[in-house]
Amino acid sequence: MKITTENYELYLFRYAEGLLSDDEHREVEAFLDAHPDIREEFALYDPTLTVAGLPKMEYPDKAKLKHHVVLSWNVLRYAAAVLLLAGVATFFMLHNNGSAPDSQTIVAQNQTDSTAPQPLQDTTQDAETTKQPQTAPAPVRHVAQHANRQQIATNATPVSESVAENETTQTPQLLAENTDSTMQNNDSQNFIPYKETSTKVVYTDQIITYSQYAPVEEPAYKQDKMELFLKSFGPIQTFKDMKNDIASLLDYLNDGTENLLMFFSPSKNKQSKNL
Amino acid sequence: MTTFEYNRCVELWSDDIYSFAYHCHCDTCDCEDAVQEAYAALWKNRDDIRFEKAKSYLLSVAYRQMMNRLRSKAITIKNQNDMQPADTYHPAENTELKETLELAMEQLPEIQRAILQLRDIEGYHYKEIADTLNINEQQVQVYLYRARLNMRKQLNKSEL
Repeated sequence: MKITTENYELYLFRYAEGLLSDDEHREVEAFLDAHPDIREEFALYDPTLTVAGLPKMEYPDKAKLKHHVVLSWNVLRYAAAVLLLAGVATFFMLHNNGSAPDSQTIVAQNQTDSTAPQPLQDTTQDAETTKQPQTAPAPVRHVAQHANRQQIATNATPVSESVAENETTQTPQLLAENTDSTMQNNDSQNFIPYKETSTKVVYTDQIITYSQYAPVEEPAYKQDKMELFLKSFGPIQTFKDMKNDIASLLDYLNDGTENLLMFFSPSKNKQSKNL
Repeated sequence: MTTFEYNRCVELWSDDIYSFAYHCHCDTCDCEDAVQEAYAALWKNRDDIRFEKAKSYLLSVAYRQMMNRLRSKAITIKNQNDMQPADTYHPAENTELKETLELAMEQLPEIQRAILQLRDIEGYHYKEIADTLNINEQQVQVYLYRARLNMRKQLNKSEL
């Protein structure tokens, strides 16, 4: 296309922006040589001139522009379920914060399991304490018994249910009364209460009970308890998963809003059909 | 577009649309009306407009609304034989760059103001500006050339 006095502005713009080919570039320069008045005008053109520094205005009332989201019963039902779940979770976390997980019972069939828990403390044979494990107060530091195999083998019956046993939480004062001499020598003010957890390994022909102790306020212990608690909810195992589920719910709420608006405003359907 | 996306459009871009309308038209009441009508149109057609295209749509509607108002005002003033001078430019009163730019902008025709803002503030490409204002790319470039030339002339005036 040839440059004329009718279309020269477009070419001058592209010339200043560097959008022309070499031939067009030379053609524009020849045009400017032939038209000094246009060259004079073009000298004023500043391609770097910008209005980006103009002050930005703030719209006074954004709330009036927005549309409220009305939730349907279906959506509210899911929201209520989430709130209830969170409430129950909070309740259990607050009320079970100081208690240890109950004893674990492992039932093996006729042979020793290689993954059976190993005792943390020394174990001694004491048939009398094994006979009445629930009534006898458990020693604080060193309570570990397992049965005389021969004696239990004669009296043992197959056990199929797990039973929580030997769980005691004692204050420092009570513990001081029941502890052995080693514990009594310790400073009771600095004493950390211990909680006993026992793991009963039940075999068809023998019973071996291992006892172990864990500090009640041990941070790692609390973390384990939290994981155990969260695992009871099935797919929700961590707070991250919980967060993802809540995000999914919000997405659902977002989509559900459209259905609700369609439900509550049937006139909108008519209008859209007419349009 | 969902209701949440629409409300997000309000949060994100209502100030931009308002600024665009204000610098194009320089009338606060008319600009607020233009923004409200733009968002009303967006809400009405939200099923057909994607979130990514919403800002361009809002700018386009706001620009059309302002042009309609300007035309109706011009007709009203002409009928009343009460034409006010369009030049409200007082260079002696303004020293700061922003105010100078703003006043220089007021001297431009509305289409040139709109294109300058879309190009320099919104950073739109020529094609996007053309789609927003319903003109072709060559017209966008010509208007942009004239707008910058006129701006420079106005700024030179203010410096004198």
